[in-house]
Amino acid sequence: MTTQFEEIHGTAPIQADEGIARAAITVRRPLEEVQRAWREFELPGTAEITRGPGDLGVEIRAELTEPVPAAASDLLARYNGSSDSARLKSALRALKARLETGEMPTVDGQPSGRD
Amino acid sequence: MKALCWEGKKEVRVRNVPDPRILNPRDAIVRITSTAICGSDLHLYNGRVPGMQAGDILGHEFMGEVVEVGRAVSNLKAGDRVVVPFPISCGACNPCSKGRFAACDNSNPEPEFTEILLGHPGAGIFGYTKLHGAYAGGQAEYARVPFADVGPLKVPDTLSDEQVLFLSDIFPTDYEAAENCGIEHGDTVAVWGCGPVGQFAIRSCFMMGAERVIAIDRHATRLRTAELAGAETINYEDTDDLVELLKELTAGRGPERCIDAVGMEAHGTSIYGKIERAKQALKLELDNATVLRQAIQACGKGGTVSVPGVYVGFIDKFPFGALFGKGLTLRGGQCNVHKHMPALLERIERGEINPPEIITHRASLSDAPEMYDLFEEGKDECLKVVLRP
Repeated sequence: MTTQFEEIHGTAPIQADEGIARAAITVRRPLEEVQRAWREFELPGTAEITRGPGDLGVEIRAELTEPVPAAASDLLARYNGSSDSARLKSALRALKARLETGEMPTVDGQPSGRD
Repeated sequence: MKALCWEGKKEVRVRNVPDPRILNPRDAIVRITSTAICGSDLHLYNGRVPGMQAGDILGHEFMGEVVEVGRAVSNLKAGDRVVVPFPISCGACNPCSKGRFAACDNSNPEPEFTEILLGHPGAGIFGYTKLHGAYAGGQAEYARVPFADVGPLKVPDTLSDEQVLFLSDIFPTDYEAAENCGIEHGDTVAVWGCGPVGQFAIRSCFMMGAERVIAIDRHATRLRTAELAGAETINYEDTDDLVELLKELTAGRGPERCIDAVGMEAHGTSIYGKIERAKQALKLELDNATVLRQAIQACGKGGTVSVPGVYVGFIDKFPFGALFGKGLTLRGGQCNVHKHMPALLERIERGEINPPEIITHRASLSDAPEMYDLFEEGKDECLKVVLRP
């Protein structure tokens, strides 16, 4: 169903350079914890993981150079978006939510008048 | 359970829907005892905000009794009486840790949608479109409250629902709007909009030491309610030039602080106000900025324009030259409700403010469709509606 916003502005894909997907995110957790979580993520690419400025936490700058199998991890199952970079960003957000909050935000299973 | 569902423009309906359930370990389920209609619900009612889907449950100002908690919630138990803040906030991300709960990084399940419009996504909000996570709202018998270990505030049984319900949104919202003004000794504050948001803003400004508050609206009863709080009033339909009138009332200085408590659906008697409404109707723009422009024009040099009124997208012809030329500060945003709730609860307990005085209509949830129409049309001198499920 097309929303009113989509009617006005169109769905706006986040375009990646051809063949490479890039995304970055900040995670407010200790460096070692983020490094360990990234290793468990098992993505075919590289990541620069460094302490961010001040007390803002850890910065992850990730780059994928190969297509990612959908079954690679449950975090990747959260991907959402019309390009590889958008999907990578989505997956990083899922990683961040898991590390910072212990859970994934969701509304799947909530009631509505469509039920 | 019964829940009020959005069905389309100016169409809301009470439906029987499944009860909410625990979906995440930090959730709680609240049996709702009181819930209010917010002025910003009217933007949804009028079809002004993108991202609604027929069947979405409305409502973000609610309170009640905890009936169930997820396994990771230890600060609440069944039976606790709580008021629930309208932003949904994890408490752990950078914004939350700095008190910017309305900017939570982790509570919007589909932030990609909001990121397109805003550049960055904000927090999830109960009952307020896909832009804010498409969470089911609290104009219902029950609600699922995510991050229940962060949001809900326990309230004493010595205070009635009506005394504390507005801690969920409008009291903190207007307190923060007044705080954002940076009110100094001798300041005059002009408040556009004497709906519930404006009423609490007026009261908050005096709490923070404003010398004078000038309240602006077109509804006589709302202006009278503003006068009860000590404000001077202007009915903008009685003047051709509001900016000049404000200068006259302040001996040429203009109000030092201006609060836009109207937001995206401003009215206005000028030809340009009419043009704005036509553009909105034609979907050429999302937001009508009539009040915001006026506030910037009227604000005294070096002053502050504070915007608790809701805006969604882009506006035309923003008077940035006036803002720059006069050295104004512009502040706005969804309220970081969690930050203010405990202190404002104490003010209520001390009797410094009497929230129920702005309630004009009380009804059952089943009467909600009629109440939305009443509120939107301003019929029966409707100012604030509280519903009991």
